Amino acid sequence: MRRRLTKKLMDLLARSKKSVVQPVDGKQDLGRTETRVWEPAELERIPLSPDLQVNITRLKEVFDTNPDFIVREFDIAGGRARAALVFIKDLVERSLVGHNVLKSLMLDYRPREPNGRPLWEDMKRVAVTAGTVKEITNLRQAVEGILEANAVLFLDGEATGLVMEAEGFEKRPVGQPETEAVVRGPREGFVECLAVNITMLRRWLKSPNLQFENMFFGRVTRTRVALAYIKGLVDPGLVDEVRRRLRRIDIDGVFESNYLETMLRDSPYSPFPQMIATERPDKVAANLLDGRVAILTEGTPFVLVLPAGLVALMQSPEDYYHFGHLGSFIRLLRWMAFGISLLLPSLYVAVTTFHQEMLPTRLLLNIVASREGVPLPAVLEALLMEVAFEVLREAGVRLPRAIGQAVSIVGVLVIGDAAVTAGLVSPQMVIVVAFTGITSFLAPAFDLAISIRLLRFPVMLMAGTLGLFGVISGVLAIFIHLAGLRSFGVPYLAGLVPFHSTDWKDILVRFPMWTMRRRPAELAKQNRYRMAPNLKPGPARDNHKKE
Amino acid sequence: MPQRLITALVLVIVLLAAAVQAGCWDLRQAEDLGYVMATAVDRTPQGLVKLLVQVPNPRALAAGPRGGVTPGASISSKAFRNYEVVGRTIFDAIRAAAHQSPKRLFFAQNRTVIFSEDLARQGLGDVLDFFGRSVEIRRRLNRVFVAKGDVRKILNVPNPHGVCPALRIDNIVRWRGQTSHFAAVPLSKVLETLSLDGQEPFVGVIEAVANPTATPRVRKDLSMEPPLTITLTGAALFRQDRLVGFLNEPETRGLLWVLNEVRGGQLVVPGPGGKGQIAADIHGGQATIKPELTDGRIRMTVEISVVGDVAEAEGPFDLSKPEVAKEIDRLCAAAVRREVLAAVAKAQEVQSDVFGFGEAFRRRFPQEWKTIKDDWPEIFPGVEVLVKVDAEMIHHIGMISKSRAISVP
Repeated sequence: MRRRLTKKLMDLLARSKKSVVQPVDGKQDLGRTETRVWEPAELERIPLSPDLQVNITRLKEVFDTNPDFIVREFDIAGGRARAALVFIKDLVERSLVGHNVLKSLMLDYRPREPNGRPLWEDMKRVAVTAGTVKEITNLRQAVEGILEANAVLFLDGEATGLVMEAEGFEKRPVGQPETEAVVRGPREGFVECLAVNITMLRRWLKSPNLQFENMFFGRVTRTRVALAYIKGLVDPGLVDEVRRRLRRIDIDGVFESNYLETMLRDSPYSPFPQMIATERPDKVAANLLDGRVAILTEGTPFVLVLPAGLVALMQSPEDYYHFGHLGSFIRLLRWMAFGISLLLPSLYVAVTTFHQEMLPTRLLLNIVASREGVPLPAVLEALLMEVAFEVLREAGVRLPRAIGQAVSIVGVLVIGDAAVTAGLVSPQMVIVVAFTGITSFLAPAFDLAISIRLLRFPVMLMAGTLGLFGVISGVLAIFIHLAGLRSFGVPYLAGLVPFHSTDWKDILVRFPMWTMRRRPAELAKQNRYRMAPNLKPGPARDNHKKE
Repeated sequence: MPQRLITALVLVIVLLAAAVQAGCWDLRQAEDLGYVMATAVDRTPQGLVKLLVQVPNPRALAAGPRGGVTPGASISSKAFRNYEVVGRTIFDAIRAAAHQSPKRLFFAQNRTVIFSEDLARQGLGDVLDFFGRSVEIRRRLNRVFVAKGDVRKILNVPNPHGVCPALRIDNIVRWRGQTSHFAAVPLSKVLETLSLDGQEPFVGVIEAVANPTATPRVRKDLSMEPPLTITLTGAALFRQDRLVGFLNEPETRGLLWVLNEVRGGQLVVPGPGGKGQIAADIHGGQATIKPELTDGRIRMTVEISVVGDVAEAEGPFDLSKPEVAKEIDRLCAAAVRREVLAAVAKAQEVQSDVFGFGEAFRRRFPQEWKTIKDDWPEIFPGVEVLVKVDAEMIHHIGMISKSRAISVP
């Protein structure tokens, strides 16, 4: 019986598709009749059969010898019909499957004859207690449904199946965002599970206009990706452009949002990030309100927000959670740190090797005194120390937590103290490098800190060969690059260049909330205002005067 | 693609090489330079330039592995080095110093230029050219002085609290507003006034005097008080580029009043009614020169307003009384006026218009100036100078209103 069915199926397949299926050679030893590779397109062409056994056999063919592939056959309605539930054992919540499907169908379901509904319809309406169900008609949908942690129900005599939500596997609980901690503000971070992330966004933005679009990337991984935006706020052209760029992507696996980011960038070789990658749902929600688009990827807590320019990358949600003066102060500090972390070692090298006249005498003598006996020129000293710092930093990230502590202590002692005592580097250089390293952590976007870290080295080389002229040339080159850079068509320096006076309320300092009425000028062009006018608080008599 | 990659690589290498080739010619590590802090110029009897440059030893700053100078601690190396070289010109002498100095002499941190009195009397013109021309010399930063006595001695006074005598001079200059009793003229100002017809240059005077607190030389140690101490005093007057005379300390302040350069100082006047004395703390002054031309006679009216406070009142005065305050104002104004007139008299005596009266005249009467500018040195001594001083010396009178002399009869 089984052999006959297999043969029948083979014939069917041969008739239904043109492509030749290549059997893989030399795998006879495990007792398999054959090993086949199934392409989604191929599966799509095979419709579900009204014969339950055919469907089961086909699925067994597809899943081959996978031990976790389960087919549970059972009778319903007192033996009136045969049915089968197909799922992958460890992907589904077993109690859910047992309770929602098996128990209700096998024990509780009594088909009501009088209403004359076909059994399939009746069963769907009365017996299936799963919340989300979907009817399917071909093998591809069935296979994908099963692989996406659903249970698929087949009924003998029906050429459709029912995909029922039964997801149940271990997930990391929602925790604090590790890379973007805040002192004040929500401590909830995205997790690897897309559904949870979408839930978090839904909880922030309770609007029916919040729109998610589901997509799948990766031929093998079939990573679920959700495009999120707020209708009426977002520029429809932007969404079209994002969709267009996403559609081009065809790779076998997407494991992190960066797989998409690299494929979506305007300027692929630029060292600057053209999207915000964040773990914070509040940040994503706030950016959606500014008219941006978010891309949520299954399997990573990092959500992409775009378009993003330098200004957006320098904003941290905490700026808005604190008292305005503090927010402004931190913002100023951050811009300063941005400059320092890019330029401080270069300036130090340039001034001490080319422009000794620029330093106050005492400072100069101090530097000279500490540099006496240092065998390396300042540029090499700086490069060496920077590399050492980067090595320590990278080691600190990779090493197990317990050892990391020890390494950082040894690193600090060896690099900071012993090297100075040995006269290999000057203490001033240690200060410069350490301070530069610390300032790079002020960038709210980790990606931006990385680009600054990378650019520091060429600028340092320029400083070591051409002095301040080299530093200025390097900075100019960076500025020119930034001025030409775009993120999804929006200028990277939007607000600064092209200049938008309303955006300036949120660039160097953070103006009081009630003054920031407009959304960013380059975004949300059809919905400019985020609040009512004249919200400045004050005692009642002032309000009377105004009215 | 490989072709493009190779092109890019070659381009990067070429650019890097170009940068290195073009850039490194003026690369100099900070520790490879000898930072000249003071430059002194003299002339040998044979007419050669004798140059003395002072270079601090930064290592003396960083005694011990932790750095920092502890006064009194034994410092193994001397804090500075003086190099004396002879050459036909200044530049020649500087390059000759390379035979002695292991570091390239670097003049951009130089703050003090000292000329010997002899050289100044012969004329600075020739040696000033270098200071006006060199790109390493900073003309606004450098202060020019004339040395009374041996320059070598002055620049060799050990300095227990600082790096070197040059920085000591610099610090004394910084606090010149304490007295305004000496001139500290930037090199740029000297060069500028040299090019003017209606104003002559003046510079400060530097001297090494005996230190009354000097300890006997028992140990060769820097912890002792040095036998000499550096002092800045008065001003040296020039006609063209030649030194022609000196102003003493009050006269120097008289000159600085007219030039609006008084930033502070002390003024001691007899008390009202001739009893006791008052010491006033000058806060500053404002002067204007008004040239007048009547019947071919030139008259300069200098109007000065002085602001200050009473610092000491030795005598039976009640400073809260308006008439006492007025009297003090009057006495101080008279004292300031005396200082100015003394300076004018001295300058007229040596025919050196350091006040810039000629310039003031030129600005007011440009046509007339053209006819007299060649004879200005001869006309200047005969110019009548009127000085009007308006002093307001009691802003606040300190922590006590009445002097002890009257509260305790």
